[in-house]
Amino acid sequence: MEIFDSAVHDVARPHADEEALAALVDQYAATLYRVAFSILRNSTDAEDAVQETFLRVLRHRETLGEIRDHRVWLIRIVWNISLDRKRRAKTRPETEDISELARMLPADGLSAEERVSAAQHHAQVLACVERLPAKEREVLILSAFEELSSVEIAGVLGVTESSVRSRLFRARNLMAELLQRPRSIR
Amino acid sequence: MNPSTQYNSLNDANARSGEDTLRLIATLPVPGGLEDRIKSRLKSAPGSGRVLLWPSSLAIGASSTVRSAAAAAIVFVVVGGGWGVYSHVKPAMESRVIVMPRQVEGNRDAGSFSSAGAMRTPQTLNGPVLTHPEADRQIKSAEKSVGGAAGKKAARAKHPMPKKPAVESAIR
Repeated sequence: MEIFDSAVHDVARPHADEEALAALVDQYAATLYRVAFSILRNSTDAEDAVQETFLRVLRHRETLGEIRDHRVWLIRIVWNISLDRKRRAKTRPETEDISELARMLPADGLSAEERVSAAQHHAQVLACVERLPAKEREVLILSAFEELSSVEIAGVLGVTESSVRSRLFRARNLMAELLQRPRSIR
Repeated sequence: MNPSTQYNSLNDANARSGEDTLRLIATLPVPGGLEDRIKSRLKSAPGSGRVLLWPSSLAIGASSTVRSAAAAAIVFVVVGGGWGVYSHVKPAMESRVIVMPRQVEGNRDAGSFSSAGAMRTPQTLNGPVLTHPEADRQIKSAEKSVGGAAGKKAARAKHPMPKKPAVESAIR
């Protein structure tokens, strides 16, 4: 994607900003939506978070030329917005979100019984994810996005790559233990 | 297979199945028209105010005259509007000011008594000479003894007592 540099003529600058922003929307809206959805687990909330992200970008569009990696920058913004929204909207119990999401997950080619079983398994996994410590949980959720490398995850979370790896290792071990013994306390 | 290996492989399978679920969430389909909705929201956002641009036809060639004329028109409208507002504004009514009595020069300290305008007269000036009342009385008595009745008569002849008018005495 081409971002207009700071040497754009004054007359063309507003158009350049608009075009750059539209290009960012086309390119990253889907990724940002998925990141927001992985935290919020609600379609409407995730879309709102993405819209808020681009509204913030609009407010700081003059700095677009200074951003090195737009994808990591945008994911970081939507990540923080989503975490903030989740923190504020604690009205619904987590179990409702989990069971609703487990039913939403694709289960093509499965029988009715298998679908029910798969939904239960997904719900169990999501409940275990919720029981992980925040740092490990965040790394695990972001690592599920195949397009994000450990370096990029480190950029999103504002930590070093080595700490991302160690957190991911701990998160996997904890997840395995929790899934093996669901009632075990961490 | 020893138990520990079996446990590890089971753990790995559990972890993998957990990550599969997260991966499924990460690849959920995005609702249709998301980008269009975001773009329309961005266009209607209050922060997306645009700077007025000169039309491209005016930007080419000798447009300085047109720009100057337009700028002068804008200045005229702004100044005219300002003058219109200024000329229609009524002056505010004069506030009633209570004139406070002027403070005496040497008495500005609050809470102290005033000197009521009295001035201090220095002792170095030559004032009227006052005689002592006792000495004056002695002199007068000596004059009486020397002159006697003859003196009294002479004095009366010199300064006869004015006769009071009848009306005045009747009133008193």
